[in-house]
Amino acid sequence: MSGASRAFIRAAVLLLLGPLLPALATALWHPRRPDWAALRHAGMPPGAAEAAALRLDLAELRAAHPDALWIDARPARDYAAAHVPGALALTEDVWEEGFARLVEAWDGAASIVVYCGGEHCRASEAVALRLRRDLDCGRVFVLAGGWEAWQAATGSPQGGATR
Amino acid sequence: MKPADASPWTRRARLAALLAVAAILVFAGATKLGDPARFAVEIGNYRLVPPLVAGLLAVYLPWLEIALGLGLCAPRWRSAARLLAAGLLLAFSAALVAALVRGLDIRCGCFGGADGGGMSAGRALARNGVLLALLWAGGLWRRERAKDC
Repeated sequence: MSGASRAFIRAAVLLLLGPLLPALATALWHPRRPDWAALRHAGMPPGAAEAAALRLDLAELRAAHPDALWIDARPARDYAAAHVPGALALTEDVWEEGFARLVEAWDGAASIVVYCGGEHCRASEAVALRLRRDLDCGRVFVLAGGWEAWQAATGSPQGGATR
Repeated sequence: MKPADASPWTRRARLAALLAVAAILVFAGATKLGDPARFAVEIGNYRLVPPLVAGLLAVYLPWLEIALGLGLCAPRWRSAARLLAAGLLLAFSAALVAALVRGLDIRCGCFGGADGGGMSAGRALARNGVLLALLWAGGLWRRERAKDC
């Protein structure tokens, strides 16, 4: 092997390994480092563990956050058909408009509960995480089971109960 | 092409091509370092690697980009940095293609928050193509330089 290719390989190895040291420091001490404990939850995408911690079922929400402001993260058509009484529409697709309405309606003290269609939708978690960040508020939660759970608990008929 | 025939201006242009890529790599790495947790989520959105790996990549890749960018600026490191940077860009492009093919509507995550919400996968791919072309052009310059050593 020529000296030139040895130098090339040495440089390549150093370029690949060198960043490990600052990466380690970043992983340990960066104020916004990834949440390693949460990431270890196998099978969940990053952020999902954090989002899962926000999920409360309807009974818990009613007990602990009776005056919560409700946010509907479903598509506009579903919101128009029916929604939780008093809920505001807010989706990631049309964030600015919905967010402005929320800021207007929110007194800064009430908890916020976000829901989407059902157990398997992820829109409510995404919206809740973003609200936690944008409002810098830790009292944003997700209704486990979403709109389906609300309907089941309140007997609200499909397509009715709009306000 | 015989590289030794290149005029000084051609060589300068090729060096400029490499330095442009270097600047973009350093910038991309630096912007991601502001919020590694968010970058981990963005890597996770591609659904290509397990969450823990996404977290590890989120703290490693920004520093790798910065190292490769700085490596492109130093004659002794340039050829290795150029090859690795091309490999990195190809890997990023493969991830973007994988996201496009599977219909994932995700942020590119290429520049932390500095690109105002993320560029589309198609545009990011086009940009990667330009960067790869610049790296390739810069390599023609390197060969004649190696003769001098």
